[in-house]
Amino acid sequence: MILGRVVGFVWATRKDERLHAGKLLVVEPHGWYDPPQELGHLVAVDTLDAGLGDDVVVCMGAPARWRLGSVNLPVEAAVMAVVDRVEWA
Amino acid sequence: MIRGPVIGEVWTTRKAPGLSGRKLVLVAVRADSQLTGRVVVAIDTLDARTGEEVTVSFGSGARNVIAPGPDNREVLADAAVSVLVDGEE
Repeated sequence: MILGRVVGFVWATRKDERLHAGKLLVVEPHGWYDPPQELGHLVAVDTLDAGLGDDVVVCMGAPARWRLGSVNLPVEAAVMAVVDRVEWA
Repeated sequence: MIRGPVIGEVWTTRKAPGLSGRKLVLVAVRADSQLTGRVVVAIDTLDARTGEEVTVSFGSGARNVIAPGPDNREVLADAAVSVLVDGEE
């Protein structure tokens, strides 16, 4: 999973109707895992009601699709948890 | 799988269903014995300590760590600690 910060929201009226259950967040990753990606931001589906400035854990791939109830959804990133605190070594 | 040291812990209260009580750790990604600067968030079921060398499994392998398959597709996770490394030759 990826640790990142919510820096914005995407508002869309016309979208796949199966996506209406989830809010779309713009997340700035603190670090990428393989494959390394040079993107500054990613868009993730949120069902945990994360707010602006929250740190979140984002899950990528097929499990993210299941988050909204089906494996057939056009989704590849979903918020898995809202972070309270990070303890670095 | 990737390998690297546990460098911290992520504390979360609001999590996706099915993941409550799961511990999340930060693992620094190592490649060719060098740290790459990339960081992975992984679910930890083996009680890894900070500084300990671990391997992280991705994809369905990660879900199998959390809930053995095949009916674990709805587990929202794409990375899990699978091995605590004792040593190598």
